[in-house]
Amino acid sequence: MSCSVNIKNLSTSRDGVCLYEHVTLDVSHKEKIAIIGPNGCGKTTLLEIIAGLRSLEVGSLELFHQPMNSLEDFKGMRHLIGYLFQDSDNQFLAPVVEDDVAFSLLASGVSKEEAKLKTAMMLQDLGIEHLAKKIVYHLSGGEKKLVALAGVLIMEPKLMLLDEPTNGLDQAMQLRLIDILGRIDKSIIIVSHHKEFIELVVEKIYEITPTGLTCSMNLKNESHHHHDHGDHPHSH
Amino acid sequence: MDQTQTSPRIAPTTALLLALVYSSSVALHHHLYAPMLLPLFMLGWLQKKSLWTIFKRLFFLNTLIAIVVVSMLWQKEYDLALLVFLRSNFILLFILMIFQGKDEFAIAIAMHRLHLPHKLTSIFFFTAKSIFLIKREFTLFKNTLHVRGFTPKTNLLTYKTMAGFVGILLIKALERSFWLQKAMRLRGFCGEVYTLEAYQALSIFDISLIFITILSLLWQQGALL
Repeated sequence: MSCSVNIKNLSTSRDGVCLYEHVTLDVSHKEKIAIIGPNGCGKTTLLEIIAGLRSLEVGSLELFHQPMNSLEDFKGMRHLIGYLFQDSDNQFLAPVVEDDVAFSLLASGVSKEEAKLKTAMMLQDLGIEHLAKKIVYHLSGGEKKLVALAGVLIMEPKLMLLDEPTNGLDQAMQLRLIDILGRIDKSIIIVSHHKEFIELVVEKIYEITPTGLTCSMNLKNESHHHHDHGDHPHSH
Repeated sequence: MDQTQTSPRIAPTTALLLALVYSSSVALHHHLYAPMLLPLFMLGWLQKKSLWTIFKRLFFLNTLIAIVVVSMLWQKEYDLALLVFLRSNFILLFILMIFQGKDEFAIAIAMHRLHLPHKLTSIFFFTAKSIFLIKREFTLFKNTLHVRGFTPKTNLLTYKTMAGFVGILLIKALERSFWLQKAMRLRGFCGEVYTLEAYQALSIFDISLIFITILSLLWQQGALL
């Protein structure tokens, strides 16, 4: 199976203090994984390294079989990586919902007509078409999250990095997000503290520790199909 | 209805355009004429529910104008003092009434639709965004102080707390700017904030206000000063 992300022996420090060493991670094509760990252990830092927002100190990183040796190498890969920030307010680059969702499309040279059509379809797909003309900063936390997600999804990235996607969301909005993420057929890396949420979305859960990354739960192996139990996967 | 319009009657584009035309004309005319009051009357009628708020704001803004006016009165320039006072209040009242119910984002949208230079529009929007977010941090901090039983007094604790507060705001602003830079890199920002809506149809109120404002500026009868 082809690999979306391949990290070998990654070590990262913050203010001279080592956060983790020898982190090795492979994320296959269309695989969904989650990374958990205590506060300040460097989960967001790891996402930022994969997204090309932070330089690699020690180790190697490959995205779609391309070695990423410097931040310059990410320039041609930007459209393949979608990043959902923890605070949606940081993500917005336009005042109106439809303009913000269409932003990356228009910035990449897509015509206004096509961008408008794709934006309308994306908003409809996420069930937020009624927000199209609203100002992003006037929305609720959950609505902002969905708008930010629409802005990420519209570029059809191959890899999605989600930083605490359930932050500030109520139960109904979390279920909606689970449904949306379940329908997405892409490689996804989620950083979250919300175990119940990630167990419903991902196949593997990794725990980040100072000595590396360990697979703490493989939900793919734990749930499997039995013909005599119907078609639904279940756990033992 | 266009949800970007927080005030249902005057479109942000009309508001921005008329604010520029009216204020520059009133400021540059040699005399003030009675018809210049016409758009103020129309806006007053449109914003009749918010007049108290508008005049309260105007009163506070007049404390600054008062300093200029008093300095002129001191030099016995009575006509000039009255002219400055009236001119400033005409312009302020027009701007306050036309932008009543519209926030900073509505102005950014208006700048988009008027096809003002991309860099200017982007800078305005990002500044508006930063002010909005800092304003939110300010409210949060104020609430924290209330919840934790802080009462401002003229003592060292108050000064230290306020100094810390300014420091926190600066750090938060810096943090926000880093996040903005990250968002720009991730989303392919190249100096332009785009808009899908090319123009917005004018309402009867927009057309009437445009007509009355232009008429009031051209009809140079009944000089007030």
